[in-house]
Amino acid sequence: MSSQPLGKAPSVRQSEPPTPLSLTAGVLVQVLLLASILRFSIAVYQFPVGFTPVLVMGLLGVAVSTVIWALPRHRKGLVLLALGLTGAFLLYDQALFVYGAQSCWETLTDFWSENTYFSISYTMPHSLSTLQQQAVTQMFLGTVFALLALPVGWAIHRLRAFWLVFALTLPWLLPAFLAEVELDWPALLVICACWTALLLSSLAAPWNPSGGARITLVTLPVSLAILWGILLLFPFHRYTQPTWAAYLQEQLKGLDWFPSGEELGGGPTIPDPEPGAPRMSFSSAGPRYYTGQPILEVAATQPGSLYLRGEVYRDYTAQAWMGVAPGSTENLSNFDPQFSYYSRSATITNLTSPNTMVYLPYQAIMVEDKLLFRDSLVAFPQPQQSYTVGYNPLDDSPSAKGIIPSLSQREEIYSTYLAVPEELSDNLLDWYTQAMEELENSGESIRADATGQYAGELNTASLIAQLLERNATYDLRTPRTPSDSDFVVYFLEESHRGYCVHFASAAVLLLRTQGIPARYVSGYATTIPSTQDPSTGKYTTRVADFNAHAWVEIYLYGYGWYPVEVTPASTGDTPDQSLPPVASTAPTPTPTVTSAPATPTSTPTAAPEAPDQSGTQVHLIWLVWAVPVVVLAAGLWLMRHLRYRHWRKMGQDKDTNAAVLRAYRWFGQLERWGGKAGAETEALARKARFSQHSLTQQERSLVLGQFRDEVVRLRQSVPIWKRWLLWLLFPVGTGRRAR
Amino acid sequence: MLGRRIVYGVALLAALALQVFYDGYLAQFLLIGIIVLPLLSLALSLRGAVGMRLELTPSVSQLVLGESGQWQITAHTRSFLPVARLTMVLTLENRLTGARQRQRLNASGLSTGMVRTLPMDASHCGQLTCQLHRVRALDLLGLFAFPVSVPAPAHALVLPQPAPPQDLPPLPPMPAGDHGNWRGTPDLENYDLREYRPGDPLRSIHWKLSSKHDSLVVREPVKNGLPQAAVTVDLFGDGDRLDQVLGRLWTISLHLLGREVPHTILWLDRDQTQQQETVASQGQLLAAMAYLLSCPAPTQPPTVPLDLSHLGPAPRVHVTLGEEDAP
Repeated sequence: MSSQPLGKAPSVRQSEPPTPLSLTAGVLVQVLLLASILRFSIAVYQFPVGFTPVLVMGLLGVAVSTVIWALPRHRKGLVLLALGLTGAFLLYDQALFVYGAQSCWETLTDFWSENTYFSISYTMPHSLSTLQQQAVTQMFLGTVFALLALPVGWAIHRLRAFWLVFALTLPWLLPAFLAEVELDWPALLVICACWTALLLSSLAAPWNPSGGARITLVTLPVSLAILWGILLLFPFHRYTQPTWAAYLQEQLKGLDWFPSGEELGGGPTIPDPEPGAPRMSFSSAGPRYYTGQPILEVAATQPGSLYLRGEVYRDYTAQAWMGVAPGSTENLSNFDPQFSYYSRSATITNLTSPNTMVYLPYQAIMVEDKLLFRDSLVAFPQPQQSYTVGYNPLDDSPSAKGIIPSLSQREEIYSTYLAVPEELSDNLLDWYTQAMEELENSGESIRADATGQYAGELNTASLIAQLLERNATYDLRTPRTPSDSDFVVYFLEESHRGYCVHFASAAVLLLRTQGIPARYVSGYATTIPSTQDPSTGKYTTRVADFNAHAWVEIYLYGYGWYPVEVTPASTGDTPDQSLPPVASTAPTPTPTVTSAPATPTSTPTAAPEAPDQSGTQVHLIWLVWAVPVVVLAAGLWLMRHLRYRHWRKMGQDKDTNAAVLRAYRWFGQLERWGGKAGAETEALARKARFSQHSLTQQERSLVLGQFRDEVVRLRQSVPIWKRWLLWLLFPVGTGRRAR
Repeated sequence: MLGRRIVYGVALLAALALQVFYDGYLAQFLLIGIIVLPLLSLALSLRGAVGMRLELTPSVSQLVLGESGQWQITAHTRSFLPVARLTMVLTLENRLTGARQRQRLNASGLSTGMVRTLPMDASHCGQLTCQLHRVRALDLLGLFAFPVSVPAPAHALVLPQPAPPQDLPPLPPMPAGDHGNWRGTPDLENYDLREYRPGDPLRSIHWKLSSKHDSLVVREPVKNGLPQAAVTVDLFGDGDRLDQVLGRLWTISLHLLGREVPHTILWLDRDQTQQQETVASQGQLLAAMAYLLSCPAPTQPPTVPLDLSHLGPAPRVHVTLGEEDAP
């Protein structure tokens, strides 16, 4: 059978003009989008404008846009007229709009600087009163929204293309996403519902406007309900990154496919921790969210406050704390009650999964019938679901116990635990001196309540806690520290806000600069209620993720390591943060003062053996780079798509003369690549230009075919990057479609 | 559909990557949203896609070469929402020339009763057949495809344009005692009776019987079973040649009918098998032409001669390009 073609069967796609129903649905989507974006902008970016006046101007733009795009013809002229009138309006009172733009820019830069570590500073050159600023900002923002309605209306009423609407509206939300601030969820849900409705109707709407409108009108409320349901089922204020995601992140990072944040930033490299030692990266010290998920269950013989120490960190770098590897319980000797004594015991149960990590209270003597030495750091050789600990209560006022370290221990303590990076020493000392002066000048009394043998060390710690409290605010939503900044210096000198990770890290270095050996410790702080379980006779409590905490241990010669609380009480919204602030060095393990929840990870039991707090900050940087790349790629794709439509139009246009002339112009564009129109094309182009007769379909096909052949020929003869450009600029394919 | 699946896959992977590498709530919201989106799309489009039915019809069943006609695809769905997109494979075939085209086709936004049209290719004579295969209805996102029952194929006839009479050579003389000469006296002994039809000559009216039946009855001479002429056709070549040959055949056949000469059209098909159709009226001419247009024509001149022995001494008209001769 012959394969002679019948000729191209044209596409059945016939783009339809808008119908009353499609215009109605389009206006609804447009109004919802603009109103939600406006509300989002005002709520998140804090533009100093009223909602209603700007919305009215936006609605005016929607009305004009709808009328223009509903017309069967003269649309381009009317768009130009609208733009011209707006331009004239702008020129008429240019200063008003300049002030408005400056005010908006100032608001945005303030927002950006406040919520990210990219500092952009802008101040309006002219100071305006609040009312004036509000008026000019409203005028500017209203005009912007009215103008935005034109392309959005075009995309919704005429193109019925989801991607263009998405591209026009997403930029309003991007700064908030990148800054990781609290979002205006109601507005965001409406925007997402509009996007969903447009996306789901985008296949049908171009060819069946009324049908597309029906899809939009049905999808809009349904998707809004579904998105609202997602928000209710997975509330954002109880969100933590899922364990599988954290685990996957660890695994992926272990593959070393991506450069580390330090490599990217060119900063100092972090030394590898010793085997089995924890590492806490500061890049994970971003905004905190807790779900209240129980991590441990503690059943103790006595009620009261309890610190459960998990990991101990020794070396400080600008990017991370490097830990101390725990010893194995296998190496401990058996506990003999004849020689040792403990007054309290507790059974600690892992509620998530068996774990090798051992969380120990202070003054622990025994764990699982093994004798513990003072300050022992131990881990089980195999994961264990629960274990029993014997301990004595922590001394309120420590006194020497005659525990004299060996020479090597002493060397380690007084060298390693006094080490401060050289580049930081001056900064820390300067800060300490200045903070002391400010404290003295303020007339505020210095906290120095400790007495006894170690009053000096304890009062210094108390003083440093007081200085830190004066210097910084407790804030669980503290953004991440810039990768090129030192964590502690940035906290002390620039951000002035943080939570226990920030306060404890700064306190450790400040204590070291004052000659007191100190180390950073993480674990849990909890209070065991005084309600006894009648069945077991024990006092039981559950330790949740928000009980995670970081604090400081100082070394007292003759006593050992002693916990010091330096984090002020928070004003956060987690359940235990309304407890009274005690920013003191009171060594009693009062978990009420440790309410600032912070641990190396938000789900501390996810990877307790190696709580690598991987750098999400690094990935934010990837995101910052990825967005322009995606936008560029989308732009190139859009350009190619438009060129391709242009090419298809040449093959299907009823006016063959115009199509041939367009193809001839494309030949002109091809000349710079070395392409050339053939003699037949030249002749046909002349005929199309000057003859009164219409060219035949065959003549048009001839010209288009020659153009395609020329592009194909050039593609085969040029280097690969030019080939790619030709592919981008002249999407003629193999010619089958256009013919 | 593949492109949309790839885009969705990329979006899903991006959301997963965001969930892994970014610890904010937005990552989870996006991931859940992207997972739920196809389910929503499926739920909204299921009813329309599953109950979809198509009809394929030609706008005209016959058209003359060069006229325009269309294939019409009519949709019927059970949902008030349109089916987002139909994908199908369209086969267009000209049975005479053997030209065949197969292409993928999309039709978007089809609601009940909505018609999408495709132009017919009436550039050459022949029986056109339009057939749809692998019809699939997509969901609103274009990720899932539901099979749709294939409609019956549609056919249309592209008839030749009659060649101008002046281009035709004079026809050979018909034998004496031409049965078809109604201008002479009818054969009163060998005839059939039938009702009068407009255009019948007055002489053929059987007045006696007409008065008995209160309606006009005419006498129609009975043919002896043998046509009075044989029209042989050189039916081979490309579309243009076939168009011209068929145009001449059409004109000659009409001319013979105009002279009341029943005749037999004979030709050889692609398998060198002799085909013939007897034509005694315009209706029969149309039927014969429909049959002829549905037989694949050879592209090369046939190597075997036509067998005319069963036709007796009937005069022969040979239709070919350039000259018509009577042997």
